[in-house]
Amino acid sequence: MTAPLIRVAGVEKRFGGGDGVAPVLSVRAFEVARGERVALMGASGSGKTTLLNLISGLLAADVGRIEVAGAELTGLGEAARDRFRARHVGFLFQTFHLLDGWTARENVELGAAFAGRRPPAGRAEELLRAVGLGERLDYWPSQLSVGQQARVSLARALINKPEVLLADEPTGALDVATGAAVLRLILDTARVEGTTVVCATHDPGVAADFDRTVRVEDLQ
Amino acid sequence: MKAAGIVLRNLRRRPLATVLTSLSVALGVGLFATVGALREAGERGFHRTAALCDQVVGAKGSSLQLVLNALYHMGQSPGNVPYSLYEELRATPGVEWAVPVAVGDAYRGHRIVGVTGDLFARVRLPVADGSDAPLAFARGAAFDYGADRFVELKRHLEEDGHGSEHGNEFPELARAVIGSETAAATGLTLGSRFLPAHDLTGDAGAAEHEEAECEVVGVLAPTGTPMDRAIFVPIGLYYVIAGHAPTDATPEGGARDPRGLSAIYLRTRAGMHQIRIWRAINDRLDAQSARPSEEVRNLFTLVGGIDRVLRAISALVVIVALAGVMVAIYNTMGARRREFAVYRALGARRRTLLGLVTAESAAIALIGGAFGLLLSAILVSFGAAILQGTTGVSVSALPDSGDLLLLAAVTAAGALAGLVPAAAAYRTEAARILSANV
Repeated sequence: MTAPLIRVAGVEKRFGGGDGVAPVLSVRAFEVARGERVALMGASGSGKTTLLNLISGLLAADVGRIEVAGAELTGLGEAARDRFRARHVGFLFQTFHLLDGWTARENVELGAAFAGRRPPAGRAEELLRAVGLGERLDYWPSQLSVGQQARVSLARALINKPEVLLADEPTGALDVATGAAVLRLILDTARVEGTTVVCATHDPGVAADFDRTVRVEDLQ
Repeated sequence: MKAAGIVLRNLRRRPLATVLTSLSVALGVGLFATVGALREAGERGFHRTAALCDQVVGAKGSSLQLVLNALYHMGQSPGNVPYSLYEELRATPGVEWAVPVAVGDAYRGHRIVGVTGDLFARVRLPVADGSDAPLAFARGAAFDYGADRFVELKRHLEEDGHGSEHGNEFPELARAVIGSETAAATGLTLGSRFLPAHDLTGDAGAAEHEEAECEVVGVLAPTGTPMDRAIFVPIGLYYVIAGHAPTDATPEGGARDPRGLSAIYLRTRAGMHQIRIWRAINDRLDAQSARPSEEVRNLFTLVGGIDRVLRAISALVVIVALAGVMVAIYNTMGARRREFAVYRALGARRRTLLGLVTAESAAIALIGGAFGLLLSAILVSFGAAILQGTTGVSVSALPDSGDLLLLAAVTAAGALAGLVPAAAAYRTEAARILSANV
């Protein structure tokens, strides 16, 4: 059996500091295999987003051990985690967080700005065509529908060919039909790119499309 | 996409703020560079002119007035020195050359300076490579009127017992060499003829010397000195044309000396000769010797206070403009929290955010500074025209290495000003901002 791509063990994360503060997140053990697509479910405030942020290295665990793509994040400083995230992790947000005043193409190219290596020429256009926006490369975000913005966001998350795609409620701001289409696109594109997906969602219908569903409460 | 691309796109996203803050920097830098450029170039130009000769000998009085009048063709002559002093100086050991000078007439505002041909043969001006070169002619050549012919004329006039109504008797004196600016401004060229007027303003209606119509025989190449806007005639002409009543009636040794000289340009051999001759002249009761380079230095020390105040004011404008850049960027920090959080999520380090915001501020300062230097070049070219019109000193409007240093300093100061908003970007808590789903 191959080693898991993501391994979280004995991790706790507190906010605010001090001994009296209860942990926001406590994970005894959580593993994701390479190429697996996992839905993270849980009540609001259960720590789904915090777990994604820990796996991406955006947050540091207070205790425990996190390994992603062969790197032990808990042993890295913030700058090293940032470099790791730039190269190995793609992020999808509920509200997409595209930058106004940047075209679709520029928003996608921005995804490669901090990785320290140049993506292959035409990679941004290739991804935008793959998500069905080949005709809207130079549109501003305000000229795109919400579904189209979600697609640009997906292209941006994949530009560095990340091993891990972390999605935080990616269909939460979309209507049912658009959400379903975007979810299909995420899963299909991730399969084509060979990307492991961990997706936080509170929607059982969304979770049903993943290989496996994990409830955060069950990880403690 | 590189960091520079991100910075430029962010500047493009806020065009009004970028343009206004850049303009305020441009204004400050433009004023600062203009004041400095005009002062430095003016001083350089004055010193270049001062290199024409070691000493200017003239009447007792203000040495600055003497130098400004004799060399820079400005203001009034402080008076005359006896002609005999010229002959004495020619015979003094250590004197390399002496050129007698007579002033008082003009043609359309361009002063007519009586000299001997030695001026063109002996004077050398500094050139770019640090050496010096003789005066060059754009067209024609110098008039043939050496010191010996002037001395001979003076003796003839003394023996003849008159000295001011003989213009027609010496037609060979009605020759002129004109400066390049004079040629451009008056339209005079080789072979042109003109009537000198006994009036320095060149106003229409001034009394003209109809008996001394001069022909232009040479046009000087530009020298960057007041010579460019002067007209040079054989000094003998001043002694044979009408209206020049004797002004020096107290000749030394009792000999008749109908007219003195306005000044004498003097070049002495280096070393003790210079000091000895300078002291000997200044010990006299009827003459003084001024060192042009010293007078120019004193002049600029005098006006240096004003210059410093102007530079301080313009430096203050630059500082206020850079503070404006800092405030303008800082005010966007609240609205840009999400942008910085996205950068962090995409892998940007905190230090990278610090660098991006600092670079934005530096870029605004750089753009503003570059436009400021452009503005300065325009202002200096206008200022140069005024300076050349009033003093004859030529000033280059082209930016020099000092301007590039100023641009680098302003850019660095802009980067420093950007550190305050950059620190706010540095503190961005990406996880909290992005999970708020705004």
